[in-house]
Amino acid sequence: MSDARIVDRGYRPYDGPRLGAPGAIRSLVRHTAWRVLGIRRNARTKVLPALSAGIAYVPAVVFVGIAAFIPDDRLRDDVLPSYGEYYGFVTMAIVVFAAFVAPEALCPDRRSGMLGLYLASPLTRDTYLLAKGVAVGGLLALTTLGPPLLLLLANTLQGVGPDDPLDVLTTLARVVAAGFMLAAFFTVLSLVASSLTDRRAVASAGVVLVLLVSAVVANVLVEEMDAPGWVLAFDLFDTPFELAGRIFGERGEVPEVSTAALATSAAVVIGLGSLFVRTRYQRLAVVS
Amino acid sequence: MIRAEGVSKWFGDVVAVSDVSFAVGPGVTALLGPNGAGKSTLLRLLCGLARPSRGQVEVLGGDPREDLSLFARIGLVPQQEGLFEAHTPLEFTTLAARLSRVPDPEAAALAALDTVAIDPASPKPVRALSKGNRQRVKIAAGIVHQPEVLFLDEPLTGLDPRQRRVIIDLVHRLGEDGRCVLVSSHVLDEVERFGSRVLVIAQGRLAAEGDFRDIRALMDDRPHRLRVTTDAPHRLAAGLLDQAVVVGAAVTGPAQLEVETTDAPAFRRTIAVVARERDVRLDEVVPLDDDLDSVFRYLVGR
Repeated sequence: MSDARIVDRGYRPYDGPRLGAPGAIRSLVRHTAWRVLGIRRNARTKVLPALSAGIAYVPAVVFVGIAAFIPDDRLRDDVLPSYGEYYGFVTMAIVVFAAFVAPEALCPDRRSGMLGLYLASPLTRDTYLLAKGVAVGGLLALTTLGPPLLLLLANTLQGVGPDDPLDVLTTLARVVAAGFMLAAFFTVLSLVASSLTDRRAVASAGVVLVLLVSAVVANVLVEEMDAPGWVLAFDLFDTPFELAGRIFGERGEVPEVSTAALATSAAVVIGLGSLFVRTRYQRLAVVS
Repeated sequence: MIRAEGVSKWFGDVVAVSDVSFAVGPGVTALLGPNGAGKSTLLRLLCGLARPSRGQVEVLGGDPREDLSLFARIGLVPQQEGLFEAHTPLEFTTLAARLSRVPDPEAAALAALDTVAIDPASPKPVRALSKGNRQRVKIAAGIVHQPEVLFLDEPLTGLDPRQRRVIIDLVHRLGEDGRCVLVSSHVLDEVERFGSRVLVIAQGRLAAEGDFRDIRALMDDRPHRLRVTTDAPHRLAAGLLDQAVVVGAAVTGPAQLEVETTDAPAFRRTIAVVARERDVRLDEVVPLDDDLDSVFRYLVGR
């Protein structure tokens, strides 16, 4: 009798655990984060994320070192920035990430047709965008939240930061609030640009253009055409960092703009931007 | 002698071997598959050179990754040119014997070189040998310790027809000695000459195992194609269709008919009866797709 056999290599049903929509969201967040960071991709894709992280964390590490090794209190106080001032050192890291790294989260899915495959899973358009937003926002928070937290921790341990436990908690709350505000602001900005094109380079150019044009227009209007000071709240480059400073009770380069105007501007950008991206994706014709 | 049970091997995101189960006994078995199908990875798993990501491999009743004593009973002739170039064939084969802890390495090396018809007195270093002779030296090193199980990875690559004949005869002899010989290849006419028992791997999965003629017989969904030479092809075709033993017939020449049947035994029983009834002379009946090439194309193209 023959012992020959032909093995069925055809369709095999998945018999592992089914994690449903929450599992799909978690999976998409994880894989989006990997893709954005260049994990399991070639070295070229890792350069910009590494550059962002470097720009964001190196100053914090240097300042921690200064706090630890310079015994002179006055010299140390002159050199070390306040928490609000620290964002001036990481501005470029945040902008580089928002403009050049984050578009990787949305653009390739539409360009390659992966969006159709994602939407054939338990993901809806809203949960898809939620996962993308969480991934980009979470990574941006690493640059907006991580370094000030590191600074706070080191300063507290060195005894040069807030001394009182209540002060520590207050500073921590401010660090968290400012970090999340900056991450949300730039995440939305990046997602808006990425939702308009499936080309990453165009999205990157769009983010940079919006930041620069809004800054130039707002400043020209106020300084050359005598527009009221609150117009500077629509300078999208400076507004989020000025607002971050205000969260720490510090006034930066546009003291004439009220905190309420800055907060309103940031809320409008985040709110309208989110609505725009959602509407755009709800109306998007998905073909795979 | 060899058993694989649900064996998978992946490298990061790449699945090289997926859920493969089979058993191989004594004699020559060909491991067949297109380039990149996972043949070499499977051989490495069977030799114990790699650990399965999932599943179990058993060779001579033990796990080749755990039971080190098995190495003395397993031989591997790899595809790569892993030779010590400066050694003579005798030195290289003797070294292989020593590494396998053979009691009398030089005598074992002489016997192995004799088996592959390489002159042990040759002063030429391995690097100066022809491709065919280098291949034979590799085989000598693989069999110098008289392994019960021998794996050969693409042993005929780069050899001329005469050298291929020598290696094929050698593999046949090893199989007839009662050893389990597993030969991987992607060249079908080579495999057919090694023997009729095959393991077919495609895209990392086992597609079929057994005698390829039996595998062909199992392919119910593929009608058998046969060429019939006769003096009256139209009349014969009509008779065969009338008896419903063929599902298709095409007259391809003044004396030639090609038919497709899903029931080869019934066709064989009926064709002579039909020929006699219709007063048709039958000159030849030749199967067109019972060779290994057709079986392989059907399996891999599924």
